[in-house]
Amino acid sequence: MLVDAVYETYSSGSLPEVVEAMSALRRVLGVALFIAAPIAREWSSHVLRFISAAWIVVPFYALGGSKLALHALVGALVNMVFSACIYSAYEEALYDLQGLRDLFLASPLTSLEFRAGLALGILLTTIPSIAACIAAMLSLARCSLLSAVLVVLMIPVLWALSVLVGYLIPVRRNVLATGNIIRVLSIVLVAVPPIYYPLSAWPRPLQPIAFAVPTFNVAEVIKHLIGIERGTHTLEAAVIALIVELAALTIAVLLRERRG
Amino acid sequence: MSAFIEARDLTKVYRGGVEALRGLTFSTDAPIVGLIGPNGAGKTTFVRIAVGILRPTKGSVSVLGIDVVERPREVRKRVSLVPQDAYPDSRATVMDHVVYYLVARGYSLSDARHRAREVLELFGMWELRSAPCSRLSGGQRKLVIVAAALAPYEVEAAFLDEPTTGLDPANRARLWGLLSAMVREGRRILVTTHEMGEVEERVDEVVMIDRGRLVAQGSPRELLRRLEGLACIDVDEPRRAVEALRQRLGEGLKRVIDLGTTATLFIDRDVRDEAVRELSRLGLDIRARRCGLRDLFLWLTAGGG
Repeated sequence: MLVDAVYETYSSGSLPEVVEAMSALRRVLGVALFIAAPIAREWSSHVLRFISAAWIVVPFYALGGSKLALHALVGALVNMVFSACIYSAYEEALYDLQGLRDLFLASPLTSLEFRAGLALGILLTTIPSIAACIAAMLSLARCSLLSAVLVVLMIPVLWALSVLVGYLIPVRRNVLATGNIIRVLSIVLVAVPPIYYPLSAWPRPLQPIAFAVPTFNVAEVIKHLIGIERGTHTLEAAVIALIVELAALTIAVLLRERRG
Repeated sequence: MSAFIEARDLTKVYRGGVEALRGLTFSTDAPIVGLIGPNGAGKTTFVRIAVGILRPTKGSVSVLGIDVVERPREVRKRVSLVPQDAYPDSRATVMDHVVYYLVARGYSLSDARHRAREVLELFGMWELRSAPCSRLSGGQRKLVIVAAALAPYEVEAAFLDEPTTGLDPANRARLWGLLSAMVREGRRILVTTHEMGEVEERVDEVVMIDRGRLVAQGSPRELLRRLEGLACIDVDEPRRAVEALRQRLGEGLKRVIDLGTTATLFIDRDVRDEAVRELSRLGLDIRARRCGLRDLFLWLTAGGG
């Protein structure tokens, strides 16, 4: 495993921070593989996941042609990554109920690493669907290789964002409440904002509100990268808003982590 | 050398005001500690605090000489936990649980696989390694969790919250054998259980708690000395039995633990035969026996939870 090789290389040196970072990565991977391995064995789940996220492209294509279909594909991509990661809160609530959370946490693993591991694990199982979605998006948009690379790089940003949002959901022994919070967040952060459709569909006075939604900002950056949104002011606003939101979420998570 | 566990004035009040621990104070350095108490006594809360995954409201606890409240991460590196009623992820295999748990503790994948094989062979589960846990029996599922928790080499103290519940006698014996082997390697064990027979036979020191407080501590033998000179009789129809014995024995009937349809009577051993004759004369269903740890538990916790 790559992490093992890097770990061995650095653990012999004198960089304790690097060693600790690699150890943390390994711990996160342990949880990720624990949840991903059984799901990955079920190949039908990949197909179903892609279909359930991407079916919406068809009616959008019928309504507005390839441009609107591209908006819908961006929406499907954001939905897949965000839902997969935020669903980790539900998985954590289930693991809490069945005692596995305590088993894992009575170890060097922190609760944030545990949640990140669950989110990474679910993301790993979503990779085939994400890859199919990105491939369809890039071939329809016919964008440059650089844009394609930047779109792929937005996936970890969206993943980190979703992990941070998901970590703020309380999970202690209440699977039903956790599921309800996730459903509400999915509507507020993915379905309602102009992610599946252009920002211009909103009345002009309401458009600034969209930048308060971090998932919209990620989608907006991707839309600029594949060339279906123009205008530098919306790109700049989305990037700045995204940086501010990521910083605010990180602070909130660190505060929660410190409170234990 | 530091004590295995030292708890001082440990208090935990959950949201909603439920007081799980109320100034629990004890210290032990025994290799195998049995934490016993009625349902709701605070055993699980104590265990979760001791392994560093739950913060106490007040007080302190150190494990292996490390303050859990101040340095929970340090403690968590050295301990493992079998949570109460834990059951494996039905989607994952037996091997997944042990291997990825070890990776999550920092093992490389190859080391984790190697160790998982050793542990699963010890638990007699190697043949089941590729089976999804949904296909296992209840006892086998329990063993998967126990095997994972006991797998890490570096664990110096294992906390097992009711690990033998649901296990058949052979698997219980296998588990206790493994725990004894761990102790021989210098590791410490804390077990919570309601199986008093196991406590009497296997545990070096008993810590008995009730309603979040310590009620007794000592080796099983030391604790049983508290019941010296007494005999125990289990009896159905407690009211009739108690009325008859009060008249017949007077002070010879030391205490009655009424459990509803049945009761345990603590009788002066000198008048035991007389009591048995009297209860038999009444035609009651009785069982006279030597007092055990179960009886001390009932005595001190006034009938359990």
